[in-house]
Amino acid sequence: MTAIRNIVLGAVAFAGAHAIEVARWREWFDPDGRYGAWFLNAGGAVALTLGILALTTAVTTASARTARDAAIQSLTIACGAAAAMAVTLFVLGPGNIFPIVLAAGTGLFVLSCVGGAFLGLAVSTPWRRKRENSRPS
Amino acid sequence: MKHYRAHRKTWFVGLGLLAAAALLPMPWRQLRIDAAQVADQSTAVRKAVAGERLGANPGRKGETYYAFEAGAVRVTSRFADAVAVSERSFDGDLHTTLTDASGAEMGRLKFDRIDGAHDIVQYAPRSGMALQAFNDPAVRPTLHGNARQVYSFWKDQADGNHALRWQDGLMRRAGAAARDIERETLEVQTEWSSGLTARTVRGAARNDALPGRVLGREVLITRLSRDGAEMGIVNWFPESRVLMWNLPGLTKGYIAPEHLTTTAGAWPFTPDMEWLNIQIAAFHQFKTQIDKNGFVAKRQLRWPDRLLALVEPTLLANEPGCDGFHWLDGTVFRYCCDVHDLCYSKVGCTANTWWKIWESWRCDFCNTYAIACFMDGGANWDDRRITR
Repeated sequence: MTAIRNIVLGAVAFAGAHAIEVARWREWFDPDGRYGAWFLNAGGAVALTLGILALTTAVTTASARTARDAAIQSLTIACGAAAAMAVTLFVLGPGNIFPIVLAAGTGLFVLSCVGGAFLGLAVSTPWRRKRENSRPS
Repeated sequence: MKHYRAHRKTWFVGLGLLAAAALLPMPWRQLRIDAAQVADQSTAVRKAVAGERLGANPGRKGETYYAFEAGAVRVTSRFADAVAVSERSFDGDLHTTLTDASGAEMGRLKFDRIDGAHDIVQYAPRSGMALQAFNDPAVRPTLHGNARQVYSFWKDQADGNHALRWQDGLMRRAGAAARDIERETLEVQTEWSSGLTARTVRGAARNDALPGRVLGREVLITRLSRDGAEMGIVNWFPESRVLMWNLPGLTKGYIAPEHLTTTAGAWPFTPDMEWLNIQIAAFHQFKTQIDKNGFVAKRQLRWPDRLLALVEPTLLANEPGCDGFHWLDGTVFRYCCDVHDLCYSKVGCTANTWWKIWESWRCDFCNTYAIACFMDGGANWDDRRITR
């Protein structure tokens, strides 16, 4: 159940990032309007999408008990984001290097989500330990 | 009948002579046959067999090079002790003026183009008798070539009274010692009517330019600019025979001996300052054209596709650069995408054909190239099977 939730979460995070990019494409990412709104078409859009995914993963995995759990959760979130990316790409129209685009995009998602997971774990672990230590035994 | 029998021998001899005249190659008939064969040979079209190497002679620069060079309007060649300014007139003649370090004119050279076989070189030294000579048709006239020639005449103190000999593509005073004019050239600046200017100078090489490789001490540095704004740079390291370039937003990379697989690592000619100026302009011209025009493989839509197109917002048309990954357009990977686009265009592939291996492997060849190029960091320059 957690896996499905994380897959949906990843897809929603990607869709949210894409929605922001579509809304603000010319203002923020591509003032010349050379390319369509797509996260791999501009460095700023790449940063935004990966940032949102990392943040989503960090928040989600903050409650993970172990690093292994956090890693698995982050991978499922990356899978959800990759699925949403593939659907979006095919709706927009795949270019002639779309397998490379999908592979590269998925790789970036995995890095971002795993990074976000360990960030979340690093932030939450001391706080959790403190809370556990303060509980009456 | 009696009459026939009486003259049977005469008949036999007559018929025999007729047969011999028809069959034997008599001198007058042979002349006509030979003439017909010669005529056949002179009008026969020589076909190029598929797979035959169509390139020019190794060691010679090709027509593309001379076409680019012909677009240049002025070349300023700075030598150790003189400066030559060469200009092209509207009729294709080349005029060069040589001045010494103080700016005093030392001589003039005119390359008078007639028909390629009877071109005339006219040299007027500051003092002494003017000389005039036929050019060797194998020596192609260029602006910097004119500068080298006038400088060589001046250094040889040649004039119309002296006998001349060809030496390394230059007319030299007979008996003159060998000279490496390229080593004496400090700077060459080429200007085109489009406003482009390429300038090559000598410099000291930094050996960290290409990690893990010793490039040598010397480097020829070529910079391309338009109206004073720099547009790119090319470096040639003569000792390691490595050519590196970076035209931001267009192309970046290097060629080393290991990339020259068809010539066993040897450059087919030695890059010099003039070639570097032409090459950087060619990089700019070709890559700009590729980026501007793209290599669009337009798909012929069948009726189910047309029907689908009504409801699906499809954008299957190819775009210049890295489709769906334009973030890479300003990087070394751009080259991989452009070659992939060109490959798709040549064999008629589209984004739909990545997986249809049962139809043809040709698209997969393009894809394999693209993947190898990406894995190689854009340094997979052996694209001749695709681009030629």
